[in-house]
Amino acid sequence: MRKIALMLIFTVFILSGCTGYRESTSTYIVSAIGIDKSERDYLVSVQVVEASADKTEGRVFSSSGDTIDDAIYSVTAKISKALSFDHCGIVAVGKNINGKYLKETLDYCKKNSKLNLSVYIVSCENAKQLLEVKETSSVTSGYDLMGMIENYRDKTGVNLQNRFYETEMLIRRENNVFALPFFTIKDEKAELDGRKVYRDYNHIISLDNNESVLYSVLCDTSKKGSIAVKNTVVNLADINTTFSLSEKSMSVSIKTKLYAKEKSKDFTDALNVSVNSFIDRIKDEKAGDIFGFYERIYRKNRKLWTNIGGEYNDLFNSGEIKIDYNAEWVKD
Amino acid sequence: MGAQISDYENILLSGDIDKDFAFFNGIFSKDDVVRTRTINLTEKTRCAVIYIDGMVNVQHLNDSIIRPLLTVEVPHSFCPNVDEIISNVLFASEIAKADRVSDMLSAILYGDTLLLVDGQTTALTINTKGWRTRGISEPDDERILQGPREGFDEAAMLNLAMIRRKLLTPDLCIEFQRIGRRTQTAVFICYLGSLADERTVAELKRRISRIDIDGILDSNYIAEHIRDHKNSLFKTMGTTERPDIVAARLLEGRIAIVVDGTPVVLTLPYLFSENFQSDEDYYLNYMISSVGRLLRYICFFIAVSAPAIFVALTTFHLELLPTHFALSVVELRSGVPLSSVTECIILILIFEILKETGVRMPQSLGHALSIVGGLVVGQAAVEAKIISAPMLIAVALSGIAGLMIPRLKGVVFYLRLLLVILASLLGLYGYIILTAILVIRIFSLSSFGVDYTVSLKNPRLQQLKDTLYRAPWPYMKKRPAFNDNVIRNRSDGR
Repeated sequence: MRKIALMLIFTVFILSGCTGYRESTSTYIVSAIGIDKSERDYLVSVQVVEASADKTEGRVFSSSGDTIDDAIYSVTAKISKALSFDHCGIVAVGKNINGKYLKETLDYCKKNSKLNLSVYIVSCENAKQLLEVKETSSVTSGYDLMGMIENYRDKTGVNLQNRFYETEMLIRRENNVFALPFFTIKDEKAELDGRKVYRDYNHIISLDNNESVLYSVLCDTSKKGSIAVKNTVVNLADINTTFSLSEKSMSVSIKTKLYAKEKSKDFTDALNVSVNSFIDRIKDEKAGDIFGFYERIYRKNRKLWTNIGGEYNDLFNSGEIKIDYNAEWVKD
Repeated sequence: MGAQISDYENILLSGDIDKDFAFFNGIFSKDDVVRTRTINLTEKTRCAVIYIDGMVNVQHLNDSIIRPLLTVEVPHSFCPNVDEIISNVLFASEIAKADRVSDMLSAILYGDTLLLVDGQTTALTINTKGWRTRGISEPDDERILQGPREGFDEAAMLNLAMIRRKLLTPDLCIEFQRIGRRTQTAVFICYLGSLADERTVAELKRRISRIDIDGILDSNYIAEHIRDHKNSLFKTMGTTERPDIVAARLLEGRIAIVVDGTPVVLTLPYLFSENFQSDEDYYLNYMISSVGRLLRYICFFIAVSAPAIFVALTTFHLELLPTHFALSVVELRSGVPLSSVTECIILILIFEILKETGVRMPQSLGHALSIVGGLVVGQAAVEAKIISAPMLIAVALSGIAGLMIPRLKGVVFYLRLLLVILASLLGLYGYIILTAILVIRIFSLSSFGVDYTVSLKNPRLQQLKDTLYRAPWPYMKKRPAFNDNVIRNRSDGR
């Protein structure tokens, strides 16, 4: 009996992976990872929280390597503490991270079991510079970016759908389109400046903040949003988007409540113009169906889908899209 | 081995008072507080009085024994034998005849006065017990805000009287025995004849009869001999210093053991849920009592688990903490030279030291100690970066929560420490393993044949009414069902 008990206790230690002990004082909490691409290498910047008795602040360590793993391994060689990715909030990708490099980046996020599935993926011009921004309201610029994304969602009601698991989910859809928020640096501060839309990991179009809201509305992922119309922020609520589809044309009906201080036909007209010009720009840039309209055909009308075949992006660019816009004014 | 009372078991008096008197003087030759006196009852008949100073009521001795013996006018027909003396001379109310020297010695040592009569081989033991007692006061460990305030004393007879005063029924059985070869401590087994399980009473007597020890100075001596699981952390016998609690437990069909020389009375069978019951629960509004009881269960969890979970989360599972919380922990732990587990164990030990010194100290010093220990040392240690504030908070929270369940104080300390050690080795996995073992262990315990967790193993609404919460008295119609033989219904005796 004793032998069995001892074996059980021994087994408990073996099976538990009890090597996971790590003191918080000998660990760097990673708040963000920045990934850039030079002609040859990946340049990975790891932003960690440096906690000291007097001050807690972010610190960025950078290194390059053939792969992201190599680069991170090089970073660990430069520092005295182990890296803990458990609380990493942001993975920022630079402008050169596109196509297969973006795929490799997202694969890395998938592979790194310590990286949280709800980490935010964001795009920018230069990831290292974005992480090194000094003007922050949080402990590190990484957590500041997280705060900005969450604040934007709370303020406007638009979910940017850029968490890792959301991005993965969108990639697996029929049209393989996903969008990442785009951050720029202005006056040494990071600023959300619209979104970048990708298809099959390739960048296809950039959207400004207004278009970003309209994108969410037309994707039917947002029931409310705020857009600037004639230098005034107009809040939209109870957005209801419906579609009517055929092989050659598409009707989109948007019903919404428009919150503004004064009732003005200018607002509704301007909104109407905004939506139409947005669609026209997408058509002009041959971005194709970035909203997932045809995804809905696939789900609802298999016969129509079979008739269209795989040409739905061309159809979107060449087909007729009618936008029926109906806004009810509510005093803000 | 020195002389013991049992050594005089078969020795009888000779009837020659000089010889017998010398015999007793010889026995107590090295005891300077034993007093002896000879009195001439008649011209030819002498008596001897033997007693222990301090154990007897001197006034009572003088009035009921010495004075009558000296002043009685003996008729010519008076035949000086013990029966005549009982009938015609002594004023004392409780007089017994003793033939064996062992009985006489027991009586003298227990505060009775021995009266030897010349020519008689039988002596008289007269109840003159009169030692001073502490008196009835509220027990420090079982203070309540509302309800009876009296507590037991060290004198068993007084304690029995206090129990008797609450249970004015001839159904109350009190059985007496002496345990301890040298101390000959009086032990009383009390129960209500119609409610207590006969098998449990018999088992208790059997276990008590097997105790072989030279001295019993407290009820714990007995408890450790007769308890079910001698190596278990959990106590399987209840203790109380309050007569109202003993009466309540007797009314539930339990058995009490009153030991002379200690105010602590044992009760059995004892259930796990009793650890979370407070004496006050039954004297306050049931809603308030129920909240208190629920809090005690929560506090047990916090007291046992808080440091272990904190250590596991901060050393193994940092990802489970919210980011801001994790950052605070890292920030506040920066510069602390000790590892989390060392820090935690040291803090637990310091807390226990402070608690123990606080308990043993005079009350006035206790306050100063808590200020110096808790505030000054704690604050200074955090500022000096010897310990971190979050760990201090976790251990202090656990310590304070532990005070809510005083009946489990020893258990809480051991479990807290074991869980911390296992959590530091295996993280939450270790914590869960030990918790599972603990639950299995608790469910496997028993107290005098009754399952320790009987109310949880076989949950019935009536059982739960005094387990997880305290239902109003009109709804608690049945007694706890820890044995099938007792009368279950509280109201009509069925």
